[in-house]
Amino acid sequence: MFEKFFFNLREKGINVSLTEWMTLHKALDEGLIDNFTSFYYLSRSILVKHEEDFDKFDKAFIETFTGKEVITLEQMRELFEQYPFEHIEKILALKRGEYDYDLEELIKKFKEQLEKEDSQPHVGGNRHIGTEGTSPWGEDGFANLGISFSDYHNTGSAIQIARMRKYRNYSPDKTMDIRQLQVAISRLKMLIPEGPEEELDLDSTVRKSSENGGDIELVFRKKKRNRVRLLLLMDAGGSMDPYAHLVNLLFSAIKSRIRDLKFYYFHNCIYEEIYEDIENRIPLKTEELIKKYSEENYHLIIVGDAAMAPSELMNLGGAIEYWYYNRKPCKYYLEEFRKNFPSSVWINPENPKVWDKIWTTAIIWGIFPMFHLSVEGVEEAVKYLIKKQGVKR
Amino acid sequence: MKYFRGTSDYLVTPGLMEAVNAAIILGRPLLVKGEPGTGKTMLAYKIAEALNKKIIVWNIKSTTVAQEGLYVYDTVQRLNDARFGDRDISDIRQYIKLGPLGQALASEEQVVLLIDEIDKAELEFPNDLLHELDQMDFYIPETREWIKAKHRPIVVITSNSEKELPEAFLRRCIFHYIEFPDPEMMKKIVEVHYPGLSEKLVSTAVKRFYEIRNLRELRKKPSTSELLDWIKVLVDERINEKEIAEGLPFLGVLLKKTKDVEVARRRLSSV
Repeated sequence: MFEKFFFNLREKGINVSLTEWMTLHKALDEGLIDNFTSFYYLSRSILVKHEEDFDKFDKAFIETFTGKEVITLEQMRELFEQYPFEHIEKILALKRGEYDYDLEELIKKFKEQLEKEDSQPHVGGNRHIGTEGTSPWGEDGFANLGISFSDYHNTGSAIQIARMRKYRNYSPDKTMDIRQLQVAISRLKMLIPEGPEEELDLDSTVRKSSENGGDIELVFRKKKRNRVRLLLLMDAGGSMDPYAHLVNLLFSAIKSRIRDLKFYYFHNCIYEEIYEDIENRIPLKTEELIKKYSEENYHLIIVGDAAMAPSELMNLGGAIEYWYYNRKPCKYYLEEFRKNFPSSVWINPENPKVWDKIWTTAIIWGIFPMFHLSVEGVEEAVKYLIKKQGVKR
Repeated sequence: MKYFRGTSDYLVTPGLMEAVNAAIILGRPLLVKGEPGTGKTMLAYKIAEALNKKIIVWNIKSTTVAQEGLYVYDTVQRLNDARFGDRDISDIRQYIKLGPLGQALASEEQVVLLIDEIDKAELEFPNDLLHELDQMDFYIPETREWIKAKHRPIVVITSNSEKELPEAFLRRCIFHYIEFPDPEMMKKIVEVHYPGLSEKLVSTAVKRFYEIRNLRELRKKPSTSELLDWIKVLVDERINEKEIAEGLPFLGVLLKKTKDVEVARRRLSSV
């Protein structure tokens, strides 16, 4: 039963670690748990660390222990000993394999799941259909492959409802959270002394003092602060809709870590103008933008799926909007950006497996170093930017 | 082992009681979250009071770094002393000032350590404390000394969820979320603070309080301490139940924002 409890918790999206599971064992050994109620409270305190998860905990608890109003201490102890954590670990490893469904099976299971579904909305979890979970059902999830069932999504030239192996890089227990991204982004640093002189410069103080023949002279210096500058260009085109959640995560992570941030939007591809707002209403001249920020040593990150019609990338007048006639092809502007920003990367939410299969993506990949929109990808991208920091055009 | 069961003026729910005692016995930090005004910080003081222990408080600010909690080496003082020759500067130990965590570990007896508002600090801050909170020891290279806790301090950490805390840190904590008290609990809290008030007055005031609190447009919801202040004013000014139930006397005690006062008046005032 306790093994079941463990898995029920994980199924509901509470990633109980073995450390925590062992702490619960210890609590039992210490005699902290003397009745079922205290078991409820204590296991919650030890296993759940976010109040948002309490509801999931309750569901798992009910599911595990329904019909068992009272469990004696002996029964509890027995059950715990029956399922030591190594055992659980082993089963867990087996369970992970389960996410490799093939498409047909996926759709079948999806239908079954829909029929069983209760009416409550689900956020998180890895069985039910809802948002942000680790189940292969629903949107913005992180299972190995996912199925998207919102019909308003315009996924461009890609498969309409199901995308095979879309989230392959995410193991079910490794969802991307904003914190991991923030940590990755905060490696992007340029420490420059700034502000009031408030930090004691010990070396200079000792040197000055000995020059003074032992008379102490305190030397203070300015504290170093992070003055890294970043220009962020985001694709707000329709083909990006399925990734809106991921892009939002990245954007808020960047915004919270980088003070000197400038961000602009484009639609599918960059032409003469780039936009201050997501609706593409307030235009700015692309060439001026390049000039201004490259002179001020900005890093550049472009976020986009790089998938478009070949004509959009290569031709004059190929812009997606019928009323817009671009005099220079998109490729020209991308090359201009790359030339002027040695420290620039392209971050692509699309699965890296398909990058060389999509014609335009392959070309843009040849212009910019391209990284995947995942924790690892962003880490690599930041490493690249740091390496190129301060490189002159 | 003495168990914590709340104090005469601090009521705890069964869940909180279990969590506190588990933290003490398992020697794990207790992480407490909850709405402002639910008594997170007060909890640490009350644990110290109930178990008759000293409390050491570490208030976290955005600039706080983990090292400050352990010790600070006052080089400036030492340089100054070298200049004026007041003290024997060869004894570095007198320039090592233990921080709150350092003091808690070095203490001869078990203390309560409150790390208040840990989410104010930089993202990596909680991770920098992992070793010290796990092993309850640290090394001072300047004096080649190990500080090792004779008695693991009872560590209470509060957070207002301004930032996400790292998973590695969370795994080591016992967690409790202090929920906002329900009306029944609230009446008990009022009784603890103002014993002997008329039951009818307390019920009416508490009911009115929740009506105001449940207005969705409010920017800052009133908390327990504001209710207690309000009741005190109502009693002192001899406001009767009818006025409380129908009007909004002394609303400014409950609501601090002009916009909120307007909202409450518009929505709840029948006078």
